[in-house]
Amino acid sequence: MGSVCVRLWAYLQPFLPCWSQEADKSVVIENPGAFCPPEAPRSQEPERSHGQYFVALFDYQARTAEDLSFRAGDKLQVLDTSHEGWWLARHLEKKGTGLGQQLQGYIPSNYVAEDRSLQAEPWFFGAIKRADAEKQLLYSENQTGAFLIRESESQKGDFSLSVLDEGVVKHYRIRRLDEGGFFLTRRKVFSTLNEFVNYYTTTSDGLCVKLEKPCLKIQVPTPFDLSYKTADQWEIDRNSIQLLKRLGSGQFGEVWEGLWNNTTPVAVKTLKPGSMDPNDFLREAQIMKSLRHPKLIQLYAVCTLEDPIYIITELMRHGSLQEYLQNDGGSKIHLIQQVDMAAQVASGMAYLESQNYIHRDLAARNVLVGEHNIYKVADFGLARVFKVDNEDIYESKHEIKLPVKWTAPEAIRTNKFSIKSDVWSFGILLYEIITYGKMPYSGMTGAQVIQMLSQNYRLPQPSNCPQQFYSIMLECWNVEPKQRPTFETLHWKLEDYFETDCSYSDTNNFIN
Amino acid sequence: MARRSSRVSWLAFEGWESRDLPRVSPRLFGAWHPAPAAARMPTRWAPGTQCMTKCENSRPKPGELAFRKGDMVTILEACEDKSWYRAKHHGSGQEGLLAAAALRHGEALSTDPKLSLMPWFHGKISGQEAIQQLQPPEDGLFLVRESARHPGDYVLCVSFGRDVIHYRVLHRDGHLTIDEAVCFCNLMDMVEHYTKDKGAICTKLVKPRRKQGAKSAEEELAKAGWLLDLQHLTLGAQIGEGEFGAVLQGEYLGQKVAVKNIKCDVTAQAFLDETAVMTKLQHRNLVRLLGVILHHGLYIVMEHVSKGNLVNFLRTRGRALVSTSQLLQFALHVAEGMEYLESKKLVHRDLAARNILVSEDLVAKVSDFGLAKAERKGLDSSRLPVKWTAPEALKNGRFSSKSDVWSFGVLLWEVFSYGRAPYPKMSLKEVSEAVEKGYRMEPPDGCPGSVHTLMGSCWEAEPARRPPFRKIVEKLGRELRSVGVSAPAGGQEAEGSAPTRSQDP
Repeated sequence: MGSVCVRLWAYLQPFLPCWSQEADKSVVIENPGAFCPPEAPRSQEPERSHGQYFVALFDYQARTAEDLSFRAGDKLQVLDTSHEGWWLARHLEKKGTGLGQQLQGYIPSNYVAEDRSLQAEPWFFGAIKRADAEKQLLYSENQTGAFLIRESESQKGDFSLSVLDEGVVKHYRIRRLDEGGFFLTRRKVFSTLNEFVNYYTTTSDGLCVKLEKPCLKIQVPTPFDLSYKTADQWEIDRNSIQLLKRLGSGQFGEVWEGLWNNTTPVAVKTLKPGSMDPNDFLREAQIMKSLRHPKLIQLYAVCTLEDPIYIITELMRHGSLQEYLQNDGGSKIHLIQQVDMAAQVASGMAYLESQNYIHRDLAARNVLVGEHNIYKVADFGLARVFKVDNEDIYESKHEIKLPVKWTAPEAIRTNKFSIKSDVWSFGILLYEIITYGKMPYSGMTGAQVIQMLSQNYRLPQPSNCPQQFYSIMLECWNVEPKQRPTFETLHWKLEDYFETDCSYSDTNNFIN
Repeated sequence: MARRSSRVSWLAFEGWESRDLPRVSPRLFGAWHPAPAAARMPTRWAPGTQCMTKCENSRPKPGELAFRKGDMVTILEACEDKSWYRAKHHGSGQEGLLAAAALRHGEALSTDPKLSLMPWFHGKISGQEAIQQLQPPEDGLFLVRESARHPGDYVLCVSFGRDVIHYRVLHRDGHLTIDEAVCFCNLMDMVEHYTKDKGAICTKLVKPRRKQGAKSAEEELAKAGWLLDLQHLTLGAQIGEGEFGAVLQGEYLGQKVAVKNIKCDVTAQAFLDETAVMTKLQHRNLVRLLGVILHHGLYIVMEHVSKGNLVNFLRTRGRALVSTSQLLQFALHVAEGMEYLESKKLVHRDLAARNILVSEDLVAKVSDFGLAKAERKGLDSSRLPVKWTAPEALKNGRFSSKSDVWSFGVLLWEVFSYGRAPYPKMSLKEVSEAVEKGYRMEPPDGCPGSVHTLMGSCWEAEPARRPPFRKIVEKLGRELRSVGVSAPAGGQEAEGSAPTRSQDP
């Protein structure tokens, strides 16, 4: 986070002098559409001798007594940033409230942005993709004129404006002068993006529509851990968890929707007694808890002091990707969404790869679906600590409960997993995605699959599967593990899936 | 780059010959019946067609070809504007544009590129010169020449008794004939026919008079021992796909090889010319040419480099198995190979990570050098690898060592991004426009600052400001020493996977 702040500061330097200039204007014209009246913050601020000033990007309801609640747009003074995920802060706009109101407490650091920074603007969405901008603007709560500004995908330092106009999103490249001005047309140049936005809020002047309210920021980030206190511990009191609703059950236990501390929705995986050694699990949990990525399910805490063992994680409301795909069956989900699912999973796996961590059980059943088309990898590493009788799993005559169909041949032979065996599993996951959750190797027993794979049999290309997508699957199923692509490569191939230029391919002279 | 003269005599230009033909035996007078007007050929010539000019262009504009009336040219490509061709002048060897209207119709011949390789073909010489070549008299001694009096026509000259008989080769409906009774598709077929049966001519063709002094590429390759024997070659699985055919694994006299099969005849001839150049190049960072085989086109036999191409290697091994130090070594190896080519005044034209092969002991080798130029002759510009090609080469076709340096900068970016396609999310059109306006790629994650600086210098808009490969080698060598290299000459690839944070049970 520190390096991010440094980069942000360097990045924001050019904007600050302009802001000062604007604040020094002798005449201020009232503008109903302006988001930041230049005089208002100054008059409300106490002396700036202590702490840094931030603005809230999202609403946050306190989870514990030590937390501070706030709403999007509130001003906060940050007093202590020594902890990465949770900062101590004071609320600046509640001084007049009664004594009973909490004025100071812990806040999630990824819910705020530095005051007056570009990131603090409700219309600035950072480095999101064009496709993601369209997705967010098309949420039903947005109306014509909803807009956002994002960093250009292809050229750093440039920005793009995306506007919703009667259900269609239009994109405009915001051009820059060498001297530092912003413009759509050279007739009208603005010193800052704020001026740019203010102007086009008052008049469309060539845009498809006048800018209205900024696009709603619906994709709320996940705070680090449950709270400031639990951030550094993995064992929590079982009594702080309420099990509310059973979501599913599996080979090793059940999954529940739960509530932590009467405030925070969580997912609780309860494990059957005897399914794992608590000491083994605690060692693994320490590692799993330190793995953080937007596309990985956050492990919050565990309860291992008595049976059943609880695994407390982030809650994803739409369940597993496998069920999600099977329920849809191709009615609403199409190739664009399918490639996006795959790209998000590859992104999470690329992070695990960079941390030298192996999943061991990557499959659609272990990818969870959240609000607004978010997909996250779950249950990474758990397979290692389960007590498993290999014969039961790999040589069973039953089709059900057969991870063998997701398992790389060399992992089956040697019982040694690697990131490359995860890549193989990812190839099977791609098959599940493109077939809307179909069981791979349908009709075959585990033993038959093992035999067929040894004869170089591979799942055939599904009928609705493009050759480009199938090629990626086949790369994942290279018989030689070293020849399988990295997740880093898989991620950018899927991210760029629809942007590969066909007029000149980077033909490989050698395939082996 | 100084242009190397072609080693093939493409119907070398000869001066006009005014001497009369020798006395013709009365019984064969019929062979000299005047030819009726030849059938018109299509007005659009395919690449490889040889044509004669019917006017003069002594003051060519830039890019145009200079020629005199009656000169022979070979069509290289038809331009978008159908009234112009890009062609190569047989006499001067120059390439350039000429108007379709300047070409003489009806005499064009889609020649087999191997014609110039035939031992009996002597190009444009006079009848008197032919008589001198066919001394002392020997029945059946023969040669074929292009007529000096009637350029574009061919003449078969045969020694018989104390005379030399000159048979004019006539064009009939796109075929060749002497007696108008038996027709042939090309001169090779005609010669082969009269070797077996004398037919309408005075005697069977027995022995060709080999052209002295001139060496075909094939002869040169054979003399140097580069012509390989098809019988010793065993072809295996396809291991790649080039633009002109498959790349196959194979074995030659027990040695594992990679074989590139060039099927297009025009391209095969051009490749053959270039291959003669390649045989003189040997460097540990260049893929070694072992030889060629003429068989249904051309087999180019190269050393087999076991770990495949660099871009695939990086995309599969990734950051866990390939260190920054190893990336620097790969980059240095490529630069050293290119330094060698630069010293030989050769231009690669298609330098990219896909054209770098990785050996068993992790030595990077430049591949497909020398072939890119030949390839261009059969291609239109839309097939240029835009993202790797320097602006001046894209716009004006000005390829040089400096444009190779630009490509090397893109290759550096590919290497340090572990095989990512360059200019992510940008279409080819966007790339050319952005680069023209000064856009340069951001450094990949984890790329050393000095390497990104080196990329920047490779991407100078002005070619003269780009460093020569010799300087690049020095810079990379310095960087490698500062990073701390474990094995200077390369190393062994780590077997198995990278260590994980959680150990297997």
